[in-house]
Amino acid sequence: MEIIPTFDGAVDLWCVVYPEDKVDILTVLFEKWTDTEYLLEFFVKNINDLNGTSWQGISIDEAIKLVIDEVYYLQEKLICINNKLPECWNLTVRDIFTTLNKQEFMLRKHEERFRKGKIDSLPQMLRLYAIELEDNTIILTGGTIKLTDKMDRPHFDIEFTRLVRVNDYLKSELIYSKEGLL
Amino acid sequence: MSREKLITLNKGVKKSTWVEDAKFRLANRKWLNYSHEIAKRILTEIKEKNLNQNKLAMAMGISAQHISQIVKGRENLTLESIAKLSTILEVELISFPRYKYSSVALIANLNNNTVFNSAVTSSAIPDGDNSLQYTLVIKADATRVSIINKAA
Repeated sequence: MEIIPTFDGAVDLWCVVYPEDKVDILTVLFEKWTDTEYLLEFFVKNINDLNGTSWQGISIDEAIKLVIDEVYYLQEKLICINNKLPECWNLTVRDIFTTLNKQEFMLRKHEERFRKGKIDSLPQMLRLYAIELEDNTIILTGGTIKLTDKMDRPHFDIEFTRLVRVNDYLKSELIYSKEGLL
Repeated sequence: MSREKLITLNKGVKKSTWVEDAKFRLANRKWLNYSHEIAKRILTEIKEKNLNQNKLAMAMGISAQHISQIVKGRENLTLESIAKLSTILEVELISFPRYKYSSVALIANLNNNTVFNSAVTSSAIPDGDNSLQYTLVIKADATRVSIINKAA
């Protein structure tokens, strides 16, 4: 396992490279969340969750669009912050996310200018999982599409396992997280 | 302190590759969106017609890896490829909404010596009238160009 910076230079956001992956987790997630085959399969498998109150019975097409729009927005924001563009000059990575609990992050609601029409009121679908270190460095361990309030779907098991793996690795290197794990 | 430790461990060698990929996606978003739309239709048809990606690749005469890229929505397909996929899957993968041409009012104040010899004009001027000198007010829309005023 390796932990590498997300941008050039030593900035707030770092990400894990798992031995089973050729590239870092942020690259893996962006690839996956823009993969039509993966998204279609995911939403067909979890179609009942789209019929819940949170998602107001949106179609698979709309759900796929939501994910892809969110990914593009996230990419734009990260690049904007990295390049210190005028509209992001005072922003850090932390500013574009809301912390849901110690390890779960999502894009800030008020940042959602990319949403239009009837799906305006829907919550964000993407979740990023990370461990925060004592000096506020964030280490991205994974991410998933979250359709339910609870972490009670099989794809969350993978995220939990990753958090534990990375935490164990950090401990072995005498690097400590801010608030402990979960 | 923690970050310094990470820097030491990384030795400053590796960095994430997401930026290059993201820049590509952002720069090519429009056609990638088309590609996603086509991919969804192909995947659905494969399932409904009880095919698989390998069979489709064989029918197309391309590799399985190529088909995999197509159904991921990452391929910049040519019109020829779309037509071929469409024929094999017996479904239209793209459609064209009825195009509403803007209604252009063309006022042609033709001088006496103006030679009005375009294809459109020749169909707009009644047969046998070509030798006359006109000031024409013509209106063009999606299907026709008509003379709405004719003054000798």
